[in-house]
Amino acid sequence: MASSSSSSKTGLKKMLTLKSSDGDEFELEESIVIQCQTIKHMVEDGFSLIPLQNVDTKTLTKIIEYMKKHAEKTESNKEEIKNFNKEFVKGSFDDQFELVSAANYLHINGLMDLLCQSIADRINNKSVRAVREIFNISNDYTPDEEEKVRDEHKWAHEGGEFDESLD
Amino acid sequence: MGKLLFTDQIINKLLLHLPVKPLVRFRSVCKSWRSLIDDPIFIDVHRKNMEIVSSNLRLFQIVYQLYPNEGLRSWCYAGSPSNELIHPGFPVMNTKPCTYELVGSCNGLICFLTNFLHGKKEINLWNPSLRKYRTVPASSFSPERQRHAPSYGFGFDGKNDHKMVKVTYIDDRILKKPIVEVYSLKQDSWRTIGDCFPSQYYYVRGDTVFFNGCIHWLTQREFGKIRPMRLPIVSFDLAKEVFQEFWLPNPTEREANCISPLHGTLCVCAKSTSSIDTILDMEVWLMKEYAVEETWMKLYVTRLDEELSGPIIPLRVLDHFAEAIVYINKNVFLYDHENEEFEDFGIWANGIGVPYVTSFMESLVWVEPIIVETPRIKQEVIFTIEDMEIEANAKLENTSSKKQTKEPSSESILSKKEKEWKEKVGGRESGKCDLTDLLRAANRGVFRMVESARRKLKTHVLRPSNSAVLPQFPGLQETTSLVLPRRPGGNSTGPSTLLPGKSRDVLWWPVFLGAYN
Repeated sequence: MASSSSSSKTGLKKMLTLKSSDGDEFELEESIVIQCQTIKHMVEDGFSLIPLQNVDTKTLTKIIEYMKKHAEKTESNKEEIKNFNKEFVKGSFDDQFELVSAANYLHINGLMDLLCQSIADRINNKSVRAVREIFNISNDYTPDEEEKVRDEHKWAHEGGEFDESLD
Repeated sequence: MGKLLFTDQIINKLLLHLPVKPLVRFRSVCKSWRSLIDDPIFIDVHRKNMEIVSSNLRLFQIVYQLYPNEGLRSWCYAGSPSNELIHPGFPVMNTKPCTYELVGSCNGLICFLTNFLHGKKEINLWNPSLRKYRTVPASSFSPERQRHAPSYGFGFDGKNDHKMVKVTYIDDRILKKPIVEVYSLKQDSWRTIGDCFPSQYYYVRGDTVFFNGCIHWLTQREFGKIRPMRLPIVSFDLAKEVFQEFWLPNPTEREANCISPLHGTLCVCAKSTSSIDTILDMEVWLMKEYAVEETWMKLYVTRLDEELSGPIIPLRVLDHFAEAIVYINKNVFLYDHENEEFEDFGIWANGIGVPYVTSFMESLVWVEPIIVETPRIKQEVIFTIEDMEIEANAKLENTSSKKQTKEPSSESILSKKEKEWKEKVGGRESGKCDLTDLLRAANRGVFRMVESARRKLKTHVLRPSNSAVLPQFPGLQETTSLVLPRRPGGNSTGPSTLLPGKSRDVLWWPVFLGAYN
């Protein structure tokens, strides 16, 4: 699974190795990886092999894909990046949540904003019940308490049907 | 699903990207979400996020009175009249004849004065996105002889408090500086900061613009005074609580009648100096560098369409591209100075005064009054219908969930009866409720509530069918329905309506109330 960056420009660039929780190693240019604040600080401390215990191979592959694309960001390919982002946030909630956790751990602010916005947009019109399911949250209100909380802002629970689906 | 449990930190970041309505709804998800959303720090960060979103989308709202003596409506747009947004749709209603004066707005809150025809004045705060509305206590300082009605301003101190400013002009033999008072929303109290107002020779007028941490007003010379030679914009810094003057470009200041923030500085509209006798054209001026009077420059002059005859009243200049929103013959237009074109908003505002235009943002910002007064439905007939409903809810909560030491008051009987009655007549086919049921329920205790409601609703009930009067108005159906005693949504699952849902229920009112006339 290990893949190394096969860029022709690697000659002079400083390379770093990221190691996923599954033990797979990824070799990347430093310039790409420093979008990630956590790794940037480790690089500054002199590390060149960076173990990421909280990120599995699947998630890390996605994140590297994101970082590579965004490292190419220029004035001219704005549209391309936009489309890339659009594609990137497609996928199940579970995949997105894995990515959010990783992005949060790695402190990649741009990715964090992108994912949070996309998840927020997706749950915007969900019902309370669907949100509980999606986030695996158990309802800790008693029925009376729940009704009281609802009644504080009745209007927010009215006005059309809310989406009950879980995807 | 969702095998991993998120930390509060991640949930927090996620929720910050949501608008107000889902956030308020998701308070019901679980206790920890509710405390996250209610947290003042969350509300503050959310406010900052929304500010950026609103500025990027160029959101603005037009607040106006459709008819004299009617409530306030707010209509929302993103950048242009064609981008009409679904608005929170929470109009402010008053059932006693009154007029409104818009004071100012910031952070999703609108501050306005309600002048009742019998002379009573009220200061109100309104968060349309959160659908909250309340009265702010008036300052007790109110000398008998005043040169002008007091001027108000509203804004945010940049830290954690919203403040209101009141400038009172005492009428004395010697022309004295006005008295300035500041109200803190957090502390819920007024205090005098003395005669720090810059001059006694002019007074501030009109609505205000809040930005850069300061409230800005236009000014008018005191009657019979020739000093000062020129007139300034007066600003009040809410954090430092100091005034500042920015002199307007000469000779524009005489006719300046609209002030807006533009490119991070100030902009004013004024009667065009080239058309002395007409008010068909106006000039837009920009102070290129904030607080530097020498940098005033003319941006453009409007060219009036021949079909749009009538005086042009500027309401606001929009940020980024400096289009002007203007009011001509009771209609609201957007003037695009690049193409010299007017675009109609389709808003016809026939109320008293001109519409108020300000930037719009959603926010969770709200401060409940510290001293909670006991609701007095009987004496004060100044609530909105929604308020009335909220009150009815509150009463139900108080009496059913909390054990009060008081004896069951007439109110608790009232709400109990109302509940009973609900059960009886509620349900899906509520539109078919039986008149005898209604009357019986009324006899048994709803009477008092009905009586007060009747007084409140009389004017609305007697008005002819609204939709027939104004068919051309976009989204009218939705807003006018709020005038009527009907809950939006139409289902009658809660105690918040006096009559069961369905829009036709309004037909019941004359019948129902007629029984008591």
